[in-house]
Amino acid sequence: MASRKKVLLKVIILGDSGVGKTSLMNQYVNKRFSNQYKATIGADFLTRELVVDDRVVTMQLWDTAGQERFQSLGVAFYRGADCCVLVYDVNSSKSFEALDGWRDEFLVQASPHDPENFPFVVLGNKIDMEESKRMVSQKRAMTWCQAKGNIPYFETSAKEAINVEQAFQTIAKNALAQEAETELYNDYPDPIRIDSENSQNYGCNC
Amino acid sequence: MPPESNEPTTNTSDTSSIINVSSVSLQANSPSSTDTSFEHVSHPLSNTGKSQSKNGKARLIYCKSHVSIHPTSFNKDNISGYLGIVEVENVVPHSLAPNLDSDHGDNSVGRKETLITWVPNELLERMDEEDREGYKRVEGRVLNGNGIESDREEDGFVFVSLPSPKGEKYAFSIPITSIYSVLVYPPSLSHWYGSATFNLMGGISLPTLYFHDDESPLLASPTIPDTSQPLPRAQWGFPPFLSLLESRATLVRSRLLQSRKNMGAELWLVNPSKSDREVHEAGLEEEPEAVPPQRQPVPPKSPGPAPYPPKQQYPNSAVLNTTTPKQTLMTSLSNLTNLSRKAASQVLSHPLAQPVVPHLPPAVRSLVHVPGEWERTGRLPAKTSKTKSGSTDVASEFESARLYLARWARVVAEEGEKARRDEIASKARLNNRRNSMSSSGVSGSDMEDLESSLGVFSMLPKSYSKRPIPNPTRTPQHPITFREWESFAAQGRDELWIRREIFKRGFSDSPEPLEKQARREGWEVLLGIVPWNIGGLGGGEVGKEKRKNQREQARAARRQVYSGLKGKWKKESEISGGRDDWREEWHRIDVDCRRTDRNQPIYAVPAEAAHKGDHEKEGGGANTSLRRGSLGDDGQGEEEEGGAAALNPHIAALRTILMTYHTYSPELGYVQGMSDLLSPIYVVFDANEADAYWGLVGVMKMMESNFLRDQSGMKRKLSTLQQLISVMDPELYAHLERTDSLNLFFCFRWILISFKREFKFEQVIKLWEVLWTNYYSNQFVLFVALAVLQSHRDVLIRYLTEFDEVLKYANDLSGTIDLDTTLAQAEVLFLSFRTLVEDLDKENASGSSAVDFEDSNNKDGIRHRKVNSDVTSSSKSKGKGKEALGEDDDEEGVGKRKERKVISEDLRELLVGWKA
Repeated sequence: MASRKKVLLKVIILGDSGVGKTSLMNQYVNKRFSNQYKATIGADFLTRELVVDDRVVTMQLWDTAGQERFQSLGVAFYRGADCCVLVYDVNSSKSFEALDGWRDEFLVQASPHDPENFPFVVLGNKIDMEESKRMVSQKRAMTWCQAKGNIPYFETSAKEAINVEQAFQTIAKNALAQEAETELYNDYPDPIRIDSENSQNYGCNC
Repeated sequence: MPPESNEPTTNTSDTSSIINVSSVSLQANSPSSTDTSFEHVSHPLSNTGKSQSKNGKARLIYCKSHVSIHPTSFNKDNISGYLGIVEVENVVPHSLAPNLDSDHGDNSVGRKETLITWVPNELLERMDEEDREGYKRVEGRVLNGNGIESDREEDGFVFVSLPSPKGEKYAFSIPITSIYSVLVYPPSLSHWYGSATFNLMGGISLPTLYFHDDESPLLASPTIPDTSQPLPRAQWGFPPFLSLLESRATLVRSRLLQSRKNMGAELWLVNPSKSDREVHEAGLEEEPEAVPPQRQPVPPKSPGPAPYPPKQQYPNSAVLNTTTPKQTLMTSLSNLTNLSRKAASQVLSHPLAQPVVPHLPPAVRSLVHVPGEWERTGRLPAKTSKTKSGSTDVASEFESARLYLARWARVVAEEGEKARRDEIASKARLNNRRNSMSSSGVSGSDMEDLESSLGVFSMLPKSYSKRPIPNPTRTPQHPITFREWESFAAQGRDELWIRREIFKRGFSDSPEPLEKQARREGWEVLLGIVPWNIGGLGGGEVGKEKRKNQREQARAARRQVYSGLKGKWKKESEISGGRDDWREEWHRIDVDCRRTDRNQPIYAVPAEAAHKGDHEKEGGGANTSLRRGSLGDDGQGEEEEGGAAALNPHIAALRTILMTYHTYSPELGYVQGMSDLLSPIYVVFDANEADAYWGLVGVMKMMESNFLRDQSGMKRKLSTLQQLISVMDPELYAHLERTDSLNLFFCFRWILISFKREFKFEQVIKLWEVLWTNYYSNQFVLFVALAVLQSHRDVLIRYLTEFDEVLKYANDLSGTIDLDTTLAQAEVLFLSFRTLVEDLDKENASGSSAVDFEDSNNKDGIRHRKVNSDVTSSSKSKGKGKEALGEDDDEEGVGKRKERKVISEDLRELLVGWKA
């Protein structure tokens, strides 16, 4: 276990309403799926501690309302983010097509120091549904991710807990790298390794 | 856990002993023991500074046989032994006794040290005859209740050898000063043997000792006739031990441990530090006369003939939660914070939890978690699934120690508040009975009681404390019945009167159709669907009939209009069904309707549908319907998933209503949150789609601005609330400013959908009918928000220092807020605010802040006073507070600078209520 100072990673989860942001977050933090979640109003967050590269980090996952008109409130929540997770529903093209907008919106609102290299992770959720309902192919999603600077892409199911753990591990990793970058002046004796053991969905190596 | 570094470990190796006095004699007698078998005791004592007394023996002042250690769960492994208290002279160098005052240090020679020992029988067997006899003699003496201590009788002393720290499994002997606490389980149905566990300072726990009292032959001694003792358990051997211990050390029973919930567990702190003491004793200062008889702490169950604990009755832990005034609690809790901050790096660095919790069984451990508290109170937070995670690590759940403590404080405070309310209510009932018997009206003391039952009074900022406190007028315990409702019209009451009545009483929750009808008609008035005076007022039976008919006609007309609106978009959708914006909107509405109030029976998804088409509830199904171009057709909607997901018809109705509203109000469109507003209306309107639609239109007329595309309405409301806080509670305002929370985003959900998510469904209905009366203010919801904030201001101010903490805390209030108290507070806050504005206006009109206004009663019985300068000066110091109280300085003739306060327009608007 690392004994260095604790790190708080702030992660923002964005995406259209109903793509499963709240469910993903709860699956990751509370290890459960509920079909009782309501549409998120305002914002909320959950935290989970995990170990990344031998360091104990606390990840604070921010969940916001999916309807775009509420995004003007987002500024307060976006500030200081270390990673942004874009979620869409693989069974809804519209939610996928909205990713561009969400990404831009985030970059404008959060205005990170280095927008080019700000870490995003894309999650295509609800892959547990019948294949016939699927509207966005893996290839299509990966192409988009690649075009946006090799954004790591995962296909997940909050319901079946598929790939959720892996996705958030990567999110934490990238957020930690970002955190290290933004806090260069802080005392981090060891370099953070960002190269990864490629999980099958990690990266867009297509 | 290894000993902490601040307690030097024994590095004098083999010869070091816990009690050096004994080592010689024991080692001689137990040649077979090996060093390695010594297992657990690591409290170190060095070899220095001891003096052996009486041939290396210690004075045995108490002992008890048949006290066992259960190394495994098998009876055969139990090790029976003797628990004892011995006294030796000066063996502990001061540095090792953390709780000793420093002046003990050098003049410790001749000082007696009390030790707790446990010696297995096996070891005793190997001791010399004298020792064995000594143990038995003392035990006999103890049991016979003969002078346990006979300090003056030298010949009564029994000196025994002490166990070696090395060489015997489990034997121990530790100074009292190194004991932090003792966790005790008296015998019970589930615990045949009572037990005691000693927790040491460094966080180590000694093996649990089980009192096999029933096996003790001496207990059946002639002094106690066998026949009169049917229950061997009654002879629970720990209390005598405890009472003796009490003469040697300060014992404090922790009230944090709920013995009722934990099989009678008791946690005794030994020589507690001041801070521990305050924390564990929280509320002890409470004067007992404040406790009505029925709430008097139940003394710990005395299991046997001997009352226990014998010397001092510490108030039961129940007291903490029932009678402690908030103030006292907060004082003691503040210590908690101070302590925890020192260790803020660890989430659960709870000063109490740290040394003890790891040693507690899970049942007890769960006590320190807030979710456990909920279970205890029998209420569950609305977001159970989110916050209560069962086996999940608590550390991962909570944002920080502060947030954790804040929640804990909240729960405790609420409990206290609730208990106090209950008491006052019962007192009031008693008084009422008395009054009705003496046929005198409401007595003044009743009013006082009611006042003190509302937390707001103690929480109002100082500036109000000098004013007479306005009384809340609501009497929700007497809701309007259908009979009364009908009579109102017959009596010719005007609408303002009606609104006031609804504000005060609300409608009944009774499932009786007529009672439901009363609420429905009331809502039709409040939402502007059917005018109050429809069919004219008064007129006896004829008038009643006329009103009924006209109401029906009005409804019918509305329904027809609705059907037209619905038909229009449905038709259009068939033509332009493929249009993207339509699809998107439909999808959005569909997704939200499916997850609105699905815990309500009416919106529940049929079991087989839920089974087959889980995902449809998640909204995926809508896509399919869109692909097939079956927009909005409910009949088709049910088929659209090939029968897989039979959509609950009521959810389908919500969807249709919202889609109709979306077309009807194109600028606004559907916005998230509207389905939350619609759902209770739909239920109250008896699942009538058209009526519910007009209900939605009515409520949206009042709340439209919340949903504007640019969020300007919400921003304005939050800003008004911010100003209100700055005027009404400058201290809270300053705190929110410090925590970066002045944007009040943590109130966003409250305001946007009028607390829909903060209360249970039935309560939301009660709240909304009050809000919609607009009796005092069209924005009464802001006073409700202020009331909630005021109830939690102490916790907010004391514990929460970051924006995210405040937000989390506010979100987690959901399901915990008491509606009627909050509404009473909101009313009082409104009345206080109105008085304040009136006073300021008068002050400004007279051009002097020093003018003493004569006390006078206004129509609400609020007394006017001169403006307390606290209000003005405190708001002056706030940066943004100035927006609320516009200030400008002007020169007066006296040449003295005078302030002039002007209430902002936003705030002034709060005084605007319903007008005919």
